[in-house]
Amino acid sequence: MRLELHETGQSQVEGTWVSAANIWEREPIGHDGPSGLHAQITVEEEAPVDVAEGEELEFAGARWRVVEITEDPEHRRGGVILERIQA
Amino acid sequence: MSVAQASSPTVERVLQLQRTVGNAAVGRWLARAPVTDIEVPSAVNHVHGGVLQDDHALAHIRHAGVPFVRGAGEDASGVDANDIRQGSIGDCFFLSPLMATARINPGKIAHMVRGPIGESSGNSVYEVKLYNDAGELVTHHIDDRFISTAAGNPRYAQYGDISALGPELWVMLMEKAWAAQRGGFNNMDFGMASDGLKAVTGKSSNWHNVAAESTDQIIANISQAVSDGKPVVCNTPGTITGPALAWAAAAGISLVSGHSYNVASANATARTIDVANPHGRNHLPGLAVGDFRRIFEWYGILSASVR
Repeated sequence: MRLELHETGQSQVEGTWVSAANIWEREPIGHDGPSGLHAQITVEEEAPVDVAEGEELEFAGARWRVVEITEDPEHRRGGVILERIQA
Repeated sequence: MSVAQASSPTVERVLQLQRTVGNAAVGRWLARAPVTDIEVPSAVNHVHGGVLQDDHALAHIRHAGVPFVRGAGEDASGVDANDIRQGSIGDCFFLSPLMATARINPGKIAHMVRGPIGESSGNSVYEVKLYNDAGELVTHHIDDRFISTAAGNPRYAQYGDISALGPELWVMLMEKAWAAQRGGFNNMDFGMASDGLKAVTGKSSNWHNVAAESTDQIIANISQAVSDGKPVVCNTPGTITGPALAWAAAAGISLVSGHSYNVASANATARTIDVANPHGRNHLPGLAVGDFRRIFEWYGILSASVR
């Protein structure tokens, strides 16, 4: 299953609200790592998690891999595509 | 005030009765006449470059419900700012002005949605009024089909309260009306909050660059606006600064760049501002004005009270 998060909007996955924000080339926030295209994923009212492509996070009872982060450099809007990792 | 062109024999008859014998006669006639032929936009879709996007065209599903539900703590109109929850589209610049206005004068918003006034192809049709760029009220006929997820849930604005008669639809109806007014959902995926304020109130707004004002000016302006009953919308920059993001991360706060929030209240003595998020969650209550200045780039105050 794939989930596309539209920047500044929010989507619901099995009753859990998830949103993506702050997508641009930068250093990760809250942990070490190389500079690159990062996004912050917020699940419900939890603290946001800073992710890059290939990283994983957990919500709605499943693990998800960040497949793609996109950013339109002109309009500064983007999105994140997540893929549920099969158990 | 302008009214949309008659779009069916029924609507023509309603307008004729309004002109000749008044609204009471319209009510009597509607009570007798089955209104089943109201023309609505065939599909207020999400198009991109003239091509229908498959993901947004998954389904226009009927969400039968009621326009308003009076939830706990709400006034008689049933409209409440907390009914608003943004979905998977960047229309915070409409929903935040709507939230700010509904908080101050829920009855004003309630008067902008009426119905169902009849049916179209088995779907309930509502009359929704919004202001155009000239500040004139425009009437839209909006049915209760909404772009939905594969699971059958609304994709964009969400239900308000839930009642025994079904979900509360006023936010979804107003969002769809604005999509119709702007020519499709693609034209309301990011935009100017001043346009959103105009659509909801018919009034212009005055915008302040946060960096150009002191914290004293900011708290004074916003407190005065709240006191005067003027909606205040505040926008984060397209790129939130590193210090602001680091501050938010340390505080466990979710900030969204390029996003329109709105002011729920302000306390000039404590120098704090309660900021609401049209997501319906991740609000920023009790924000010190210094932190407000750190986070936001612009704030807009409506030129007139909506009380």
